[in-house]
Formats: sequence, C-alpha cells, structure tokens
Amino acid sequence: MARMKFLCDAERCIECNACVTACKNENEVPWGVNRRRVVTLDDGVPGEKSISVACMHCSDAPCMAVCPVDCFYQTADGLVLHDKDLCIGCGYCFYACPFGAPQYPQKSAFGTRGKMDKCTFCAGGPEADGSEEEFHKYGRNRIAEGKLPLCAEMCSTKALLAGDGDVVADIFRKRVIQRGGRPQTWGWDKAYPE
Amino acid sequence: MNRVPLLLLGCVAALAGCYERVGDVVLHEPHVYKGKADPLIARMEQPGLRERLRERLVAVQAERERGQP
Repeated sequence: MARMKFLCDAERCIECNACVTACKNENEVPWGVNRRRVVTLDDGVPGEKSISVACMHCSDAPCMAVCPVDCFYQTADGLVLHDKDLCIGCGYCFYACPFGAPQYPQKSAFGTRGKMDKCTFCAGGPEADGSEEEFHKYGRNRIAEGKLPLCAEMCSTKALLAGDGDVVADIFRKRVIQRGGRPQTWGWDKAYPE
Repeated sequence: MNRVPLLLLGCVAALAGCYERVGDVVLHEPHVYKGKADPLIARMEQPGLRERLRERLVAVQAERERGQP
C-alpha cells in the first residue's frame, strides 16, 4: 500500500504563500499557528529557492516516539494524526520534529501552551468525520470527502504535490526527465560546498 | 460485652471509604495509542476512496498534456 506524501518542487515554488493562506482559511487555523510555511534559501539573491513545509507525515515519526502521553497515531496510509484530548501541550514533539511542524496556540497569559496543532493532511482527527467538533479541533476532513489537501490542490505552479506517494514520485520523475537532470537544490553540492 | 463484631463492622465501614473504582482508569503503555478510534481509518478501507484520491491526484496535480483543457 502506498503512503500519502507531500513533495515540494523547489524549481517551481514561486514563494507566493498561497498554500499557507489556503491552509489557514480551509482549516480556520487560529492566529499564531501556521500549519504550513514557505522557507526560502538565499532570499533576495539571484537563484533563490523556496519550498513549502508542513508536517511531512514521517514514516518513523519522531513526534510519535517522544510523546509522553502517546496522543499520536498513524493511519495505514502513513498519515500522522493526533488526539487533542490526550495532548498535554508539553512541547516535546516540537523539539523532536525536524520540520517545526507542531505549533501551539497561546491560550492564556504567561505563555501557557495550548493543545498542539499541526497539519493533518486535511484528514481531521479522531472525532466523527465531518463533524463540527472535528472541524473545530482539527480543521476540515477533505480526505473523507475524497479530496486531497487544499494547499497542494490549489498550488498555481503545481510545485506542491500531495497524495499517493507512488503517483507523486511518478509526476516528479517525469518533470526531472523533462528538465534533463536532477535538481541540485538539496543535493550533494548544497550539503558539501567546495 | 463483646465488642469485636462492632469493631469489625467499624473497620469494614472505614475501609469502604477507601474504595477506588479502577474501571475508568486508562493505564499507560509506552507507544500505545489509547485515544479515540479515528473513523477515517475504517473509511479508507472501503473500496473506492483510495482510488478516488488517486484519480483526483492525477487529474488535479499532474502535468497537462498539450491540447488538454
């Protein structure tokens, strides 16, 4: 069975931040929480590259490994979701996540953390599918409606892909062949510059 | 007068106050999710949904061929 994956094509992302806006609007994400962000390398320099980053729904998710109350669960399709009723807002998942995906709304004074909030791949949470409670806690459940995450579906340059990992890989492979080479944005030269 | 039965009765009554219902307690086990079951997991197993998502991915996010609207 294939796994659901995000992939952002750095050669195509134009840093328009429409994915961020679409996510916030679709899921009515509270102020101060960004489930998705656009990160730019060498901003302002010719040849700058941007990618859109959210929860990558890791196969071996570090957030799941460190959660002291085990509020995370993983679906058969690889989506990493969590139960906000179990979350104690400790912040361990935030420190463990290499993408900074878990976010915390400031619910009260003195910087007290609320329940953790993160990208759900538009798959909601453990409440009844499409219920008001689910929407309030986790945002819209587009997967149950047969739709894919809105951030990817509305990407104007089709830089952000989301869905069945095999199909996503096929789409990206065709692009790479068409371009005549593998992009070096995140390649060897970037990791080990001379 | 024999006070033993009365004393025993008093002890039983006192201990009754210490009763704790353990049925509602969820015991923690490392790396075991014990929250609510997500109905989406069962829904994904139904035939058709995965195929619909796959078709939608190809229709919406794949490159358009020349001449395709």
